[in-house]
Amino acid sequence: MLTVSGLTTEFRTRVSGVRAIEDISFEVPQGVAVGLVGETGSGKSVTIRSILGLLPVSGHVVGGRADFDGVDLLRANRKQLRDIRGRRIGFVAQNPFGSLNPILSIEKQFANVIRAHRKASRAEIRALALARLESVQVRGPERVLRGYAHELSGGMAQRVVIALAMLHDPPLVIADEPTTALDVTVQRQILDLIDAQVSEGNRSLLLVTHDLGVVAQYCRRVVVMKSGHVVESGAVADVFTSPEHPYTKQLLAAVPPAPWSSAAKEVTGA
Amino acid sequence: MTTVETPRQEKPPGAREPRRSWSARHPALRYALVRIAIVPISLFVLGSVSFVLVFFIPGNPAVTILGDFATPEQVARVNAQLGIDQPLWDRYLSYWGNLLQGDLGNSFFTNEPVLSDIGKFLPNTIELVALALLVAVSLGMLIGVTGAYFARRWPDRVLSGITSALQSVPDFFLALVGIYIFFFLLGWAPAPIGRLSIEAGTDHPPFLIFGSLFRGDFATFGSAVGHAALPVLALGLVYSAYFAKTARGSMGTALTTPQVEFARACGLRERTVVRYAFLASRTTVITYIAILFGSLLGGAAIVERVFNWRGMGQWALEGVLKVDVPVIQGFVITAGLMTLFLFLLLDLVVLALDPRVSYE
Amino acid sequence: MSERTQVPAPRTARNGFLLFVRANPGIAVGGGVLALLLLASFFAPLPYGPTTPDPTNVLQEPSAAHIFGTDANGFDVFSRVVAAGQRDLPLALIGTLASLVIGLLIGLPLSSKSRWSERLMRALDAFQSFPLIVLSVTIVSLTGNNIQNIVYAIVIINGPRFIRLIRGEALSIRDGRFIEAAVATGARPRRIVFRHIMPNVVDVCLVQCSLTAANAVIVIAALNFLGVGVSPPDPTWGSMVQVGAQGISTGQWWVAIWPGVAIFIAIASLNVLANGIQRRVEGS
Ligand SMILES: Nc1ncnc2c1ncn2[C@@H]1O[C@H](COP(=O)(O)OP(=O)(O)OP(=O)(O)O)[C@@H](O)[C@H]1O
Ligand SMILES: [Mg+2]
Repeated sequence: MLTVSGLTTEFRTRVSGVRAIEDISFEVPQGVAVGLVGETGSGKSVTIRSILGLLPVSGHVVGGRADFDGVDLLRANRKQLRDIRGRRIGFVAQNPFGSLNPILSIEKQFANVIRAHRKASRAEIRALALARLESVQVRGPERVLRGYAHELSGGMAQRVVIALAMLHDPPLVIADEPTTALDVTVQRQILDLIDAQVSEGNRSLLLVTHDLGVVAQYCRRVVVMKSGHVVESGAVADVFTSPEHPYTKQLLAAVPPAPWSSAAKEVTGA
Repeated sequence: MTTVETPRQEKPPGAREPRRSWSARHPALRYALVRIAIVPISLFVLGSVSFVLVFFIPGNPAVTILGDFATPEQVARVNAQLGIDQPLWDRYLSYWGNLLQGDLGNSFFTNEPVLSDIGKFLPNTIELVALALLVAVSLGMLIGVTGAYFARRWPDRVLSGITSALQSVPDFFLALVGIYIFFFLLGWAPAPIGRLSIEAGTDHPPFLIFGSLFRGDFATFGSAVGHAALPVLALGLVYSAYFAKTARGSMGTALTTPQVEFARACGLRERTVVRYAFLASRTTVITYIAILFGSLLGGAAIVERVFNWRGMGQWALEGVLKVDVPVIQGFVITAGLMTLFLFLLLDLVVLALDPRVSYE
Repeated sequence: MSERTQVPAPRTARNGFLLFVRANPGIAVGGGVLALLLLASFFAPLPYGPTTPDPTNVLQEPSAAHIFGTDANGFDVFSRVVAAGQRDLPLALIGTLASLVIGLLIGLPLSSKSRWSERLMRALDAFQSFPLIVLSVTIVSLTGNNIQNIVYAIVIINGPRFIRLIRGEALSIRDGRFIEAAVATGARPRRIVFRHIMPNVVDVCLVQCSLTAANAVIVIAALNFLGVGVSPPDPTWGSMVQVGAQGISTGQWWVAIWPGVAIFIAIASLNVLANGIQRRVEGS
């Protein structure tokens, strides 16, 4: 589905270039959820932005490939890339209030995303938006459609973002820490929601997270990053039971073995 | 956490507890009303400040104003108008009395009523400032948005060089350069002698450009636009640099927000993305209009003098240079009123444009 | 910061200077041009006396004898343009210093988040939105029409910006988050303030100082152009532009353009300097 190989990205400042990630390779097979974990600053977000062509102006991909749908995303032209984003790859970002446009009604934002890829009448847009809001369990969808982002709670806003990302039924979903900006009480709901949406359509998922517990619960494969490099990757069961790289061991050891943690739950088979 | 918990009750938007005062239910309306209620207070402060101006005149005001060779009658007349001999409180009250009746006094030198002078000169200034503002805002936005879109690439560098250069030219000097090139060398612009050619005289109806366009008098319109081109461009170009800088900054920020990233990640067209970033940064620019308006009015005063524009700024500068107190007071009050209402207008526009504006 | 540690060259004085120039081109170019202007205006040998007219050579075009030409009074434009820097530049610097002092005197006591200080800041905004150039013309002509009084004009226009800036910086120091962080990492608060906060505040103030000086050059020129604060034979750029303005529509461009170019160079170098310092603030 998505095959990344040798991906290397630099940030150029006035004085010199800084290599943020180097020689990143991994694969997201059809219908599989892959977790991308690593400490802060290890280059997870840079990896994803490189793949989607969303690097800030100072960032440059200097090598590697990212094959998706028979296209190398790193060399795709603007038109190809725009056609793939949103329609073939759905993206869920960290902060829902950052993602939603504060000065547009939610309905207008649905219309924008739908019309980015096909023609649609107002009635069609409305019907589709309502259906999708229902499917992400937003209550009072009519009212939400008429309203603005600042009127929503964090959990609600992230549901809207997920509905937007899934509008065109993309076969691959990329989520960059979709719950860190949210209340602890709704984090799990959002992850469950993404999980349900993904497995419903037999889609692939690339899920960036800090939380090994989350990986254990929702992902089949895992990629571990440290300071810009992939240090270990493989099936979650293998990596978690017999980690090879010392860093992975360290990470696993740091997971609190408290009875309520999901890692403990996973281990005990709950 | 192993049991499936019911979703936390999240308040649907718009559903607020019933029975609250109307002001809590309509924060925008309340903000607008508060904003309007401040106006009379500001007016009071403005009027009082203009009253106090006289006390800054050192020595014997009448002598300072009229010079050492003034006749005793002139001194007596000015002293009477200044009301030097009356108690302060009485002067203050009668000052407000006159002001509320629309009496701003007469010029010490021409003896013309200040209010009728303002009526004569203000429309010229309004036309100049409005057109210059139009040029400054549209050109500045264009430069700023282009620069932000091509951040750190060559168009950005070239444009920011142009911006810095424009910021280093005094507006009156740019006006002179314009006169030399476009009037003397190329002969494209008319002589800098006023709003119309010399045969047309100076007693034209107010709002020459807007008025003649409205009446369909295209001959006058063409001549007026020709005469306006240089002063408007001189002011507009210099001030466009300030707008360009602001727009570059706020647009640069708007284009690096997660919101733009998400829009791109959803496959929105670049055109749409830029448009929304532009809309997001428009409040900054609108607010900036209010901030720059005062400087623009001051700059316009000098440029009006260069072109003998016969505007309020030129009139006020001539009054200021002669310490013509009623003229100065009239200018302070008029300029203050204009600024006040511009601020009010722009605040309400921002309020109408932006659903998330905080209502204090 | 990183720039300085990245280049491990022996730090001789000359080497250090070159390194500084390479890392801070804006500061080097802006400051260099400014220093040249100042030096030239005080020490450059002038071909003619800037205040001694030559009535037989009136309104001469630029030539080998008078490289910038002569004006309507027979003054040599080049000598006057150079000599005018003696008045314009120090006056701009004094006006800037005065604005800075006013900013400190008013900004520091107001650096609290009380309602009153907030309201005073709003009042300051309102004040700034007035056509201050007209107000300063009024004040300079009232206080006596001499050039030193232009300092008041500069302070009226630029003081409010300093007040706001200094209040903001002081608030952020007083907020104490830096200090808390420093204490948490074991540093002494005094050391942190002097090693880390003050340099930054000084840089930020320096940026504002060069912007203010640039604005001061404009204000001085504008007032002198209006004939305010001019004592006739003494040259200033603004008054020279005014003298030249009368001939500009009849083609005697050189009388007004050369002093205007001098104004442009002075302002541009100050703006470049401000940009350079700003870069340094952002870089560290
Ligand atoms: N705009 C940028 N300019 C310069 N360097 C950057 C920029 N963005 C990221 N980097 C560098 O890339 C590295 C990786 O950053 P990235 O945001 O990918 O980390 P991350 O793994 O997503 O961390 P987090 O878990 O905190 O989100 C950082 O250490 C940083 O130095
Ligand atoms: Mg990240």
